[in-house]
Amino acid sequence: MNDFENKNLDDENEIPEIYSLKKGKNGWQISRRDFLKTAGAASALAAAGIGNRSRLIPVSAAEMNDLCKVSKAHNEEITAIAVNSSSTRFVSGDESGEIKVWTLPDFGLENSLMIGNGTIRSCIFNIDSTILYVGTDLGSVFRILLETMEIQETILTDTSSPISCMAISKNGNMIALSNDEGKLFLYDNEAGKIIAQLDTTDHSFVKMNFSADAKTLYTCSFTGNIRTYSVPELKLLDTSLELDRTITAAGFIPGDIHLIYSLHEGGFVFYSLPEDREIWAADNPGDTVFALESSPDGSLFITSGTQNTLKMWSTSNGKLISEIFSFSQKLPLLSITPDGTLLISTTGKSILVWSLPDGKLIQCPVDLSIMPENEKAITIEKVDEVTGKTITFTLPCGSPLPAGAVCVCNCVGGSLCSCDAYTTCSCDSHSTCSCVGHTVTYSYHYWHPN
Amino acid sequence: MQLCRAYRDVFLSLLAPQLIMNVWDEVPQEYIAIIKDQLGALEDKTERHNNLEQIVGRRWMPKPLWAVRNYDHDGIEAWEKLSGIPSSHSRITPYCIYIHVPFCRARCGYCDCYAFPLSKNEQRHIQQYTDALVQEIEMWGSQELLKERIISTVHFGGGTPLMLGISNLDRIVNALKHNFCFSSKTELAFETTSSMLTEEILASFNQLGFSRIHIGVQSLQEDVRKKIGRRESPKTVLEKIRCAVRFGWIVSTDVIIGLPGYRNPGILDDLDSLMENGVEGFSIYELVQSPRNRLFFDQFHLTQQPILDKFIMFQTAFQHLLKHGFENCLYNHLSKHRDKNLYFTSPSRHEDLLGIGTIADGYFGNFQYRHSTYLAYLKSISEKNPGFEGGLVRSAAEDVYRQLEVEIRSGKPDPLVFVANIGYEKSMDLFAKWIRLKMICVDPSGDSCTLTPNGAWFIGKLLSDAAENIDTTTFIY
Repeated sequence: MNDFENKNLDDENEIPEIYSLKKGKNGWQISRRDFLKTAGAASALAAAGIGNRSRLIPVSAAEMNDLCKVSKAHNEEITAIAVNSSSTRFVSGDESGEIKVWTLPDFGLENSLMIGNGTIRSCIFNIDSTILYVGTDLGSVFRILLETMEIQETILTDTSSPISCMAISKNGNMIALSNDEGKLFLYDNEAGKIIAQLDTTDHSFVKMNFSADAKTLYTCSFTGNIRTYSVPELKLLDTSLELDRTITAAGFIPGDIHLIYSLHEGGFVFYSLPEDREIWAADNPGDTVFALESSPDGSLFITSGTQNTLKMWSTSNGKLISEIFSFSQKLPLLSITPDGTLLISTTGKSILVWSLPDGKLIQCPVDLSIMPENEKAITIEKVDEVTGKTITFTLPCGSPLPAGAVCVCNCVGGSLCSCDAYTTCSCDSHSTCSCVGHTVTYSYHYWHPN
Repeated sequence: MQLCRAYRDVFLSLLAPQLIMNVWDEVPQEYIAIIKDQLGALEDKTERHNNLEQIVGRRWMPKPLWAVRNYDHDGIEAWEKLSGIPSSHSRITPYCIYIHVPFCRARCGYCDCYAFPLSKNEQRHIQQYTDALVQEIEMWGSQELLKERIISTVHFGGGTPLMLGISNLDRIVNALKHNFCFSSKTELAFETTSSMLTEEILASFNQLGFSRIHIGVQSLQEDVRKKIGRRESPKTVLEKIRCAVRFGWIVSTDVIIGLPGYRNPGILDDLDSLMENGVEGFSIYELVQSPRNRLFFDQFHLTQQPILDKFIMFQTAFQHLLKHGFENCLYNHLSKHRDKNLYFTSPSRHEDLLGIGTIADGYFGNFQYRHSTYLAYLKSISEKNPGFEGGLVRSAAEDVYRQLEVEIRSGKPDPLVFVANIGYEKSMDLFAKWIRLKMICVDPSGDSCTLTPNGAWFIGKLLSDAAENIDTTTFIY
C-alpha cells in the first residue's frame, strides 16, 4: 500500500460508470484491485463495441486552430450539410449557392455544382444516394442527379421564402419540404411531383420527421409548436405542444416518436409525442443551441450553440457527457452519419469531421481547387492511437504542422518530401520542404535521462 | 574487383527480400498463439486498411525536457540553484549515482551512445577526464547533507568505462567513497564490452566493491557479430560470462532486435546460451536509427527491414524469457534471482539521481540538470560549475508527467498514481484502453498490473497517451 491508497479524491462529484470508487466516511475511496477490475470490464465492453463511457476529447483549441482553420472546404460560408443513408457521402452547400459532394471515409471532394439560386439552405439525399434535393434561399428546390451533377428538375420555384427544412420518409417515397413562411410541401418521389401543400401558422420549421410507416409527418417549429399531419393529405391531426417560447433546434430519436428540443433561453426537453408529455428537462445555461443531432441509436445527442462548443449529452437522462470541442467561432451545422461513426460540423468555410462516440477530430476536408494558384497541399498523417487510427489532414501550403507528424508535401512543383515520425515537415509555398527536428537522438536503449 | 563486389552487393540486396524466410516460420510453435493474440489486440477492426506493418511501426520516444524547451538556468546558475537542494531532502532518502565515460576502443556502427574512440593522446584524455570526474565528485561532496544520504547504486555507463583503466577507476571509486555515504547494500555496477573484460579486471573490481556487470554481448551469432564489428568468438564471450558468474558477479546483457541478419532461431539460441551460463538479466531493445548510426543503417539496408518482423522477434524474445521465469523489473528489462537493475529502476523508488561526467543528466526533486559535451565539459568545469550545460525546474505539469512516466517505465504502472495525478475518469480511460490493446495485463493477484510485450514495444505511445491527459497548455512533450 502506498501513499495513494485510500486517498480521498478531490472531486467527490466524479461519478464512475462502473463503480470502483466507494464512498467511505471520508469521501470517495479507491483500491487498486477495484480500479483494475473496472478497467478490465470497461476494456471488454469497448472491445465488444459497447462503449460504456464517453471520453473527454483531447483535441486542443491550439491544435484545431493550427490544423483546420486554414482548411477551406468552400469559398463562402457553409450553410447546409447532409449525409447519405449509407454513410458514404455527404454534401455541403454555401452562401454563394454552390454545393459540394464529398466521399466517406476518405473525405475526398467528389463533385461540385454552382446552382446559383441564392444561398443553399437545405439538402437531402434520396435513399439510394442517386439523387440530391437542394433547397435555396430564393425558395426553390432542385433535384440533382449525383452521377452527372446535373439539375434534373426544379421541384419548386421561387416560393418567395427560403426552403430551410427537409425530411425524407424511411422508404424514400415521400419528401417533406418547408419554407420560412411556414408553408409545407409534400413531394412524391415516385410520381415526381408535389402532391400536397399547406399554409401553416408556424413561421418556420426547425425539424420534420416522418413516422416509420410514412403515414404521418411530425413538425417542430421555431415558434414552439409540435404538430402531426397526415400523409399524403397533409391534414393537421394533432398539436402536441404550443409553447409561447422559441424552439431553436430539435432532433427526433430514430425508431421512436420522441423528440428533443432546445429552448432559446438554454436547456432541453425530451418529449414523447404519443404520450404528449415531457419525459425530462435539462439545463444548458447560457448556451442557446442552434444545432442538435441525435445519434442513430438514440443513445446520445450532440449540440452546438452560442457558446461555440460541441457538447455530447445522454438521451436517457439529459446529462452532459462531455464537451467535445470549444472554438472561437460559431459551429452552426451538425450532421451525424447514419452508421453513427462520424459527426460532421462546420465553421465558416471549413468542415470538421469527428469520430464518434469518442469525439476525436479526424479530418478537415479541403478543396484544393480553391487554394491560391501554384500552391498545392500538404498531406499530413498524425497517429492518434496505437490501434492504428491515423488522422489524415490535407492542408494548404504554408500551414503550421504538428510536431511528429508524417507528411508528404507537394507545395513546390516537382518536389516531394516525406518526413518520418521523428521529424517535423516544414513546408511552404516559397521553398522546398524539408524535414526538421531530430531523428531520435536517444533510443529505447536508455532510461531517460542517461 | 571492387566493381564486382559492388555488383554483388546490389544483386544480393535485390535478392534479399526473397531469401528471407517468413518470420512466423522462425517462431517456435509454443509462442505463436500468444504473439498472435498480442498482435491481434492492436488490430482495429473498424479500419478499412488494417495494415499491421503500419500499426506496429507507429511509435516513438518522447524527448527529454531539455530537448523540447530551453534551460531555465545556465551552468553556473544551475549549480548555484542546486547548492542546498540536495540538503533539503530527507537524510534517509537514498539516491543513485551515474557516471558517464565517453570513451571506447572502437566506434561500433550500430551504437547510438555518446561515445568515441581515442586515437591520439589517449592517455592524456583519460587522465584529464579522470581528473575532471574527481573534481566534480569533490564539488558534490561539498554538499554536506548529500554526504549523509545513502547511495543505492553507482552505475558507470558509456562508452566503455574500462577504458579509464583500473587505477583511474580505483581513484574515482575512492573519491566517491570518501565524499558520499556508501552502505553495505550499495551496488556498484558498470557497462562493458566483453572484449575489455579480463579475469584480472573481474577480480580487481570485485575488490573495489563492484558486483554487477552489464555486458554488451549484442549477439552470439558469428555472422551477426562480424557485421557489427565484434571481434571475440561467441565461445570466448560465454567463457568470460561464466568466469564473472564464478566470481560472484550479477551479469546482465542486451538483446538487440534489428541487428543485420539477427533472427530466430539465433536470438532464442543466444538467450538459451546466456541463461545457461548464468546471465540473470536481459534488456530487450530494438535497434533504432539515429544520426549516430545512420551509416550503419544504410550499409545494411536496415531501414527496409519490415517492422512487423522486428515486432515478432521482439515478442518472441520476450515470451522466451517469461517462459524461463524472468520477470519485468523495467518495461524492457527482464530479470530473475539477484538482478535488481538498481540504477534503471531508481525512479520507481523515488530516488534522486546524481549524474556525473559529460552529457550526464541528473535531478534532485524537480530540478534537472545536464552536463555539457566532452570538450565543453572539460573546459567549463570550475569552482562555479561542475561542467553543467544548464538546469531547469520542472513545472507542475511536467512533474505530473514525470510521475506518470516513471510508473509506465517501471513496467508496473500503479493506477492509483494516475488517479492521484490526472483524476479517476482519465485514468480509467487509459487503463481500459491499455488492457484492451493488451499493453498491460492485470496480475493474477488483481492488485497490480504489468506491461506486456506490446506495452514494452509501444512504450513511447503509452507515454504519449499519458502526456495527452495532462491538463495544461504549457506542457510540451
